[in-house]
Amino acid sequence: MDTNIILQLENLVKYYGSGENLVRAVDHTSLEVERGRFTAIVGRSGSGKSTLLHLIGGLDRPDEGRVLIDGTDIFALKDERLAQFRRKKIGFVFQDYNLIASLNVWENLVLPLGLDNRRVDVAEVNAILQKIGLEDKKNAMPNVLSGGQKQRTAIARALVSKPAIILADEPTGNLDSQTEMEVMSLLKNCVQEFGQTLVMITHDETIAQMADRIIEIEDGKVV
Amino acid sequence: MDGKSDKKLTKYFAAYFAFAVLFSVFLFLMESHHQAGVLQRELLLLAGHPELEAEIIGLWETYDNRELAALMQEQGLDAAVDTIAEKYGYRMWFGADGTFWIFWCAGMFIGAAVTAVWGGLAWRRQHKKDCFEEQLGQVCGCLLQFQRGEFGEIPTAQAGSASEEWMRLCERLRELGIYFVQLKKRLHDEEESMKALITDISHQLKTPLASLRISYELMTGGELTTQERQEFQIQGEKELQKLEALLDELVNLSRLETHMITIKPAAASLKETIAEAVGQVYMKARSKEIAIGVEMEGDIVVCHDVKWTVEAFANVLENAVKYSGTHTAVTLRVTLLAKNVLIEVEDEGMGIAKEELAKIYQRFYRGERARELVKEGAGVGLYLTRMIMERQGGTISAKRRAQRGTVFKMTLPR
Repeated sequence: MDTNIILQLENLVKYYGSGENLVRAVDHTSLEVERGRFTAIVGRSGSGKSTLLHLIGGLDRPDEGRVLIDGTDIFALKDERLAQFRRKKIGFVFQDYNLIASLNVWENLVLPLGLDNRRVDVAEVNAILQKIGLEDKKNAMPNVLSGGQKQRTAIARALVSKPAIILADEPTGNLDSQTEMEVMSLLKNCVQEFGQTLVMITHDETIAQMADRIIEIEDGKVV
Repeated sequence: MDGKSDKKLTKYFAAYFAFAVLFSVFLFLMESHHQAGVLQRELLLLAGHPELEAEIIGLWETYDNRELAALMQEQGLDAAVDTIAEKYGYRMWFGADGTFWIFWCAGMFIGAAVTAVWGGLAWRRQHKKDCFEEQLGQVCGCLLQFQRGEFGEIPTAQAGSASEEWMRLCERLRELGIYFVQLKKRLHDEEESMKALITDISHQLKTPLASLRISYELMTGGELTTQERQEFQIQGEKELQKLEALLDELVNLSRLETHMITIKPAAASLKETIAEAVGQVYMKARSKEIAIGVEMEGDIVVCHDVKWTVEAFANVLENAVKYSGTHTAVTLRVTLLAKNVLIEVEDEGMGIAKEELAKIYQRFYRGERARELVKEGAGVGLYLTRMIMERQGGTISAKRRAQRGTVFKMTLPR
């Protein structure tokens, strides 16, 4: 095992439907991502990039192939262990934030830790909040936050559990161009500072440029 | 390991056997002592109550064909004693003979249980010790492996079976391994990039040097009019200037690349930095009648390395001027964001093809149309700018504008 490869996709296949309506969302894709790098996966909508990200994150099971994160074949794990592994190793940032509306910012951040009975390092969470510029919004509920603030909360939540890899699915899709730059530079910066690996899906070439490596997906294949 | 545990097991069996023998002997002695006691009490009763003598003797005589010692063990004695007790109300002993075997069994069982618990505890202790030794062995192996320069196999702790400390140690070792791998990779990358840099630089230097040589050869060839000679001299002078400019760029590049210069961000006025960058391209812009506008509300203190940030901004501005037509406008706009400051440079120039957007930051890359439009340039500017921005925790990205031209968006953390 090459320790420097954090993410390895082996011949991944995911089809939807059958016959005439068969959709090859991911079609025999193999890929390696190096630790600590920022990789952008670009492609038109419907090119299968979101399905690919869901497979990488263990949110969906492939028809064929393997996903190795840090050398662990994630689909060899039982559902419960997979969920635990996911919470520990992977941070997610979604386009529509996926914050829990009934919890305030702080509670949203520490919730993933609570699920695994992990201790909350208050100083550390505060440091992340400070870094991401939300230290004065600790007790705010998500519905009073702006889009950028919501996404920053989501980034902070992804960072709190110190995952090795962060998967972002169109993180700036709902944001205006200035907020987009803000969110991107924060994300890029934090990931760099904490030595994490960022895999991001986008169709925006402005965002993709910031990556160390750009992978283009077309019809479920890497081009 | 197996032989050892077998030996251990034998030890516990032996201990239990010894206990069983001792316990049995003890219990038998107790019982016979007790029986003797019964007889003694009977005799005492006899001495205390001579009136019962006939009765007791009579009872005994029922069994008079037996030895006294034999009588002691027989049911007959018990029966005699019971009869006496019923008849006269003297309770002389409490029957224990039937329960003797129960006592014995209970004793043996408790003995077995105690031995088992004791053995189990000892086994667990030993097992823990063995595990610990094995783990230590693994760690030693791992460290040896590190020394050999291999970082692949790191002991993994199975969740549940290992202690938290051990898991933490494994995690640390893993991280150390990863760190080493990255260190090794970085060294390798740096070496490779150094080689590539040298190749690239020598390649870049060849072209201007070749044209300089041609000018020189023509000049020294003789049979030239004074005017021709002068023309070649001017040409040569131009080539020299280009070479000098290129060298300056290359020196900057290689210094940054090889970390001979480190970027040291410090709190400083962003406005002054921008003013200096604009100043560097002002003359070029004026000669093309390009207006450079700066939109910035007030000043702001941002943590940045002034010298290199000026260089970064100037590179972007210079590109804007270089690839724009006359009578156009270049606008530099500063916007404050929550944790960043956004610096946008807009031009009305030729724009960047979509396919080229991601390539413009590569070292010595120049777009096809850019090369056609402007001969000079080594393709170093944006590469340097990105390096400078990113080393300060900033970013840079380019976007095609709707009508024409490009907007470069740079951020710096604040």
